[in-house]
Amino acid sequence: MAYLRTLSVVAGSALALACAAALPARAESASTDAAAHADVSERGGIQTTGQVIFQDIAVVPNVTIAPSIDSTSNSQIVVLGQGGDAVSLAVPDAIDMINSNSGRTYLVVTNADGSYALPILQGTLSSEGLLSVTVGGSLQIAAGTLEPGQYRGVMIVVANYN
Amino acid sequence: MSRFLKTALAIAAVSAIAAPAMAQTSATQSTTASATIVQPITLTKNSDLAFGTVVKPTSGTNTITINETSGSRTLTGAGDAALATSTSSRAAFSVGGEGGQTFSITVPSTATMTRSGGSETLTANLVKTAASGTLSGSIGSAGTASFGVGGNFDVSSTTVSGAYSGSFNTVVAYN
Repeated sequence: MAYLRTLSVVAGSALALACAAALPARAESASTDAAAHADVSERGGIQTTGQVIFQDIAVVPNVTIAPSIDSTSNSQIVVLGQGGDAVSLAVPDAIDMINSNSGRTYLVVTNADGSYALPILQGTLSSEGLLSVTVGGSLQIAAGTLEPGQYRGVMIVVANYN
Repeated sequence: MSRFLKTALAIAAVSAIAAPAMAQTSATQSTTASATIVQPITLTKNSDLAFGTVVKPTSGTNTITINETSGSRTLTGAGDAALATSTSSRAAFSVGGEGGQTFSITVPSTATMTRSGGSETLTANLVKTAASGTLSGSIGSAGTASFGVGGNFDVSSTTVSGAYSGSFNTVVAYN
């Protein structure tokens, strides 16, 4: 009987060791990690300071008007958004100015400074970024065709996050 | 009769008397031993939970939700936040194991996302497609199943902008 007891104890120990070795594997369950992530951006917007204003043009009979007049006041357009982000900024190549009395229109060809070519909102991530673009324009007037009056036009600028 | 012979006869007499009392000398009973061997269950992540890019509101609060089944992204709430064009997805998982077996799915109720470069956090509430599943096929063959995890979180005008990320652990187990 003493021999049998010894065998029994040895067998029990072996079983315990086997169980201990098998536990970490636990094939009846499995797990994995998954990531959760989100990017929160600053609110975007456009602010316009100033307008594109052309100098007054005096209409004098029998006087030839300069063929091109550049704006004397540029428009400052500021795009607000997530610092460091690139945006798509669309400034129209040209706009019409119209005389509200006569309906006569003139085409203004716009131009923008270097910031327009590389529209990156200046600033760091997690802060509001700014992009300032200066927009002006030139007006082509044929000699002797200018009608007196005030001319106005609307320039629509669109900015989108890329 | 010698003394040895008397002793032997006495033993024989006792044996002869005892034998008739035994109704049967053995008995049998059949017992079944059975075991079911199943393949280990496996879990594979196919995609992470990505909320994409959200433009925070100037006022109020919005909730961004990723549907756990379709992965679609929606924006609700009184704020004026916007969903910027970006890649978003639900977390998708594949399960492998013994065909026909059911299993449980355990996902934490929330996941904490921390802003990169900062200590601010966003808490995403996690939603799973089901609490349990069944592997395709039948026992004796390999089976597969899949499930998804979506979630939602709030963003307000005071939320610090930036890239937030975190992780959560998903567990499947045979029932």
